[in-house]
Amino acid sequence: MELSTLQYEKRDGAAIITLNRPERHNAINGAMSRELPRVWDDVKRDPAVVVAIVTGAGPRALCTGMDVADIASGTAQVGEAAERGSMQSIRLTALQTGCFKPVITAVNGMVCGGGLHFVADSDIVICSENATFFDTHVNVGLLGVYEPIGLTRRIPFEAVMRLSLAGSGDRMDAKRALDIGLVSEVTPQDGLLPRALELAREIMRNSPAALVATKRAIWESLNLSLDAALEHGWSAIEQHAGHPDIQEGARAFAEKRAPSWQGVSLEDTSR
Amino acid sequence: MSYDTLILERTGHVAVLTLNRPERMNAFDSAMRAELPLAWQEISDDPEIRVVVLTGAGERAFCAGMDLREVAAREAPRDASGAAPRVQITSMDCNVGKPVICAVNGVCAGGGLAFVADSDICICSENASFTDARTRAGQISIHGTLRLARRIPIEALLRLVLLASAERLTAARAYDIGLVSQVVAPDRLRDTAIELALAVARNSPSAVHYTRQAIWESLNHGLDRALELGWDAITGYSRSHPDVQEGARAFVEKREPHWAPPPKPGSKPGDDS
Repeated sequence: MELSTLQYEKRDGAAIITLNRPERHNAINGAMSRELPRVWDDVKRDPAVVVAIVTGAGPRALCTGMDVADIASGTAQVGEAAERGSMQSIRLTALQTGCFKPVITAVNGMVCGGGLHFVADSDIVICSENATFFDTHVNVGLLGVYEPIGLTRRIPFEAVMRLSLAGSGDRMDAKRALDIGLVSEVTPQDGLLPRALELAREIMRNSPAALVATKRAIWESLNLSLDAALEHGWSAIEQHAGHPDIQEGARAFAEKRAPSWQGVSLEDTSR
Repeated sequence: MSYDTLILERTGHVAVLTLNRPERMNAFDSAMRAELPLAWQEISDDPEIRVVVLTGAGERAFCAGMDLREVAAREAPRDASGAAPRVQITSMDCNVGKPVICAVNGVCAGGGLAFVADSDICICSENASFTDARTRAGQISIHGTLRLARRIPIEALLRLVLLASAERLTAARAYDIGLVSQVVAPDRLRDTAIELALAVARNSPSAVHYTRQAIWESLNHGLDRALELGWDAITGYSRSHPDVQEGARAFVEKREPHWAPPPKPGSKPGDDS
């Protein structure tokens, strides 16, 4: 795959997506906005990939959002031409591209503005000690709405509002992100990717089909009121009931051996 | 306008509204309940005011809730249908669309929790505490409580309302669970809140107004629907609002932006093009 703004590699069952414009703090330009959906499509289609890791190149930033230089010059063209201006043009994350394989985001520095999409749409988020989280939208006259709405489902409301309204001068540090559950671990800078890979390896021991169905039911539950979400969850359990991994998992446990999982179907992985 | 139970001051684009009955721990009596909607209206109508800091007078209390002495002394008021009139004390109760930073300077109890529940940003002093004695006083705890259920872990909230005066959430615990984002020494509280308000006031008033509106509105919807509505807000606003270009230009030219005046109360994204 020809990529100019991303590094994309696979290690065993883990796909590692590195935002790779370190000279621009890995800000999203038009090319990156079109390359990310291609990479997520590959994650979705490759049966050998169980889990994805998103991180940024360099020691300073995961991603500082849409490249403001592009916006100011009027050359910002996010997404494919046919979709431009629609919500479908924002296809940066696994969820936005309809991929339900588990995603770990390793925040390696600053993340702000549109970069918060990667945090809001992740399953697991860890960060390095130098990570900071803030939202620059209102500083430059834009609405800080889309990413924070996702964050309202992850962290206390007050923290979301402070992030969105206070702007770039008010930065959440890694310690506070850990306190309020925005991230679950803080590592030294050089230990971040190794730790993300360790977590990925643990995830890969689990049934890929069960992971996808579980992740999907939990995310979809956020669209529903509690009783409806519980009903929806039960129907997911019923649909999964005949899956061969259920027998295999029980047998492997009884026989004290590693299970041999079925691959997850493309249909189950995609929305 | 001047008030008996409140102090309304202005610092640049920031208004500081102080609940001012320190001898009664800033509990709201009928006088304060009558004045609060007037003060919120004054704030809403003044285009110079972009952000509000809400705090309490004195060192002991932010607000002790409904003044029970008054409740004990007379029959509860009823309207023509026999229902109790709705308490309208917070910016949300009074439909004010401006961001509110709550600076909790001591005890915040019972109905006083509604100010915290309806604020956008909340900070407190080291001596602050949060408690809800309403069920022990025979009242149901609803006002403030339901929005708090969207702000803090449900266990913490149920513990607060069920244990009533036996439970007191400390400043440290409030910080841990994300009820507040900052705890400062009592003598630093007001200045810290004003600094934070000035930071908010430097941003595009329109972007702040619609951002705040859209995030609150998102709580009424499931995630996917909330995101669609958020996207509609963004496109409605970005298509035509002058602050979008001005913000980017000022950033690139490294100068202070000249923002458009704040939207009129009740405006929706796309209205002010």
